[in-house]
Amino acid sequence: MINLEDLTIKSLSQKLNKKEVSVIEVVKEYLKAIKTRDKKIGAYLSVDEEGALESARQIDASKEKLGVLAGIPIAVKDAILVNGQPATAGSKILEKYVAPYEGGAVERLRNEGVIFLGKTNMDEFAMGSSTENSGFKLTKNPHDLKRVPGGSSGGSAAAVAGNLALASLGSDTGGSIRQPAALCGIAGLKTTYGAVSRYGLIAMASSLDQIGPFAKTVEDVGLLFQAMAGYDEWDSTSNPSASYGDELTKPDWKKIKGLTIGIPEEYFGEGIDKEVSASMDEVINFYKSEGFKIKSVSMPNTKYGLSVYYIVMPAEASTNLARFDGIRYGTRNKAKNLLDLYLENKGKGFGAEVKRRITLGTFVLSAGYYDAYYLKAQRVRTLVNQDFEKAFEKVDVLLTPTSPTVAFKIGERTQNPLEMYMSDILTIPANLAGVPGLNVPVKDREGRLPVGFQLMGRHWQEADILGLGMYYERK
Amino acid sequence: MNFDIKKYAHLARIKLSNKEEKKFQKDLEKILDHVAELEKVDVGGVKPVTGGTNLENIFREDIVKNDNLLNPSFPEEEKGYLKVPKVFNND
Repeated sequence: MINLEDLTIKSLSQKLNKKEVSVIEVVKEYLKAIKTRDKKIGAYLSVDEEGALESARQIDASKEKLGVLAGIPIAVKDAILVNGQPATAGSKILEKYVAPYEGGAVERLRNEGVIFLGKTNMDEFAMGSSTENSGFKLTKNPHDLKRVPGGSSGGSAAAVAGNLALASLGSDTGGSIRQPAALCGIAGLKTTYGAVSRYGLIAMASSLDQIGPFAKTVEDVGLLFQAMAGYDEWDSTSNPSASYGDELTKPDWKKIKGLTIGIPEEYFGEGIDKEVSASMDEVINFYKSEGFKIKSVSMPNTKYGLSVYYIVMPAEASTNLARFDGIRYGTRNKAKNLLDLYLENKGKGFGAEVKRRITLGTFVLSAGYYDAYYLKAQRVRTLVNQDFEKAFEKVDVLLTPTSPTVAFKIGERTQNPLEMYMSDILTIPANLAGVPGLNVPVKDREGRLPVGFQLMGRHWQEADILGLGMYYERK
Repeated sequence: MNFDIKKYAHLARIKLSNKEEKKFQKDLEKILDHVAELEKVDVGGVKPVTGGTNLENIFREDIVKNDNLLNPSFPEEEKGYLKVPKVFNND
């Protein structure tokens, strides 16, 4: 009998290599857990039982020593293509779409022997912070079923927190990995822009989107990231010189202990729950008492992050989503002419938030408003990015809360889009600047809702934030 | 902020119901009022960001990796080709 609750990638890998348990037993246990418990949580949109069992049998039959990810069962956000599996991106418009090829990050993991259990629920086209914008169903926070798991990768976070997958993949455009990881009490990494292939990711905002892993521990997140990272010629934004090594999972502790941690005051202002700020004090005191150098820094343009984001993101989304017009994808509603065909298909196929953002994006890019909105926002984005550059001259890593609040109640923020957008106010800047960000769950919160803290590092320095996170996790 | 929801929804080729029009009008006005804070930011001499990365152009040979990837998802097809409605109308 396997206890899914205590399992990590690291521990399962050891058990598999010692033949204490077989891959097929573990996969069957997860499939059973999904069958019995996912009705309540709603993490999955589709489960590939046959494919998962077949992959498990193949690995069990292999005579070679297994790599650390061989036989590890994970779930994948439904915006990322897994060959032959549905990929709806949480939208009715792609209800019947089946992925005709494998995404780049998925391919790398499959080559390591990772098992794909199924596809997880998400806000439609990744637009949301609670997974309530899914075109299909609600996902609930495994810690409290009346509350949201966060979003947009809420299904992926809930699957791991609910022990319905050992780890999972998500995508993060403004916090869509880190915020649900914080609300569900697990680790989640938004990777450096260009570090992980986005080939096969259904795009929302191309200058911001990144794929990254969720897992129960920071160490597990590092293991997945190490396998996923690297150049892919099928993604022209993937960086040919990106290269990572064992430092991601086997930190140089001397180097980690020498890191200076920056505390940007602008991330600790109004709107932060008392409970969250109290937790941050605990975490900062932990690092202090361990002898880390802590420095206050100022990032004065942080306050403009949300406004910049709500111009740049809808602009890019409105162009990326233009392809879902009823011509090449999805079902086609009958119409009397071409114009009507577009109007009908988009009007009926997209949900409210997607229509809102496409319309907003169309406006900020339209003749007469482009300079005032889009171009202005891209200039202010430079200022936000310069804040990071200046801060990283003084410190190595930034420590902030990940989400201003703990998980909120289902329905609490759906009527007021701006209030929902505020959920991402602390995670958006890392996307604007393209730097990596990690959510680390705050420890010893049994019986209370999870809180997470965010570590942001320099471009390509995931090893710093992962190492610092692992240091906290192990002590 | 005066915002003509009908105009931009039509430019985006999205048909909205009357109820949606009313709600989105209010929602988007609120959002635009919020982002108006950027008006007062001094960006003299500041260059705009143009993408997520400073990479130069990346080229690869334009060779088909895998045929027939798209047609299983076509809403209407004939002999492996995508079927589209008439673009020109008599009316």
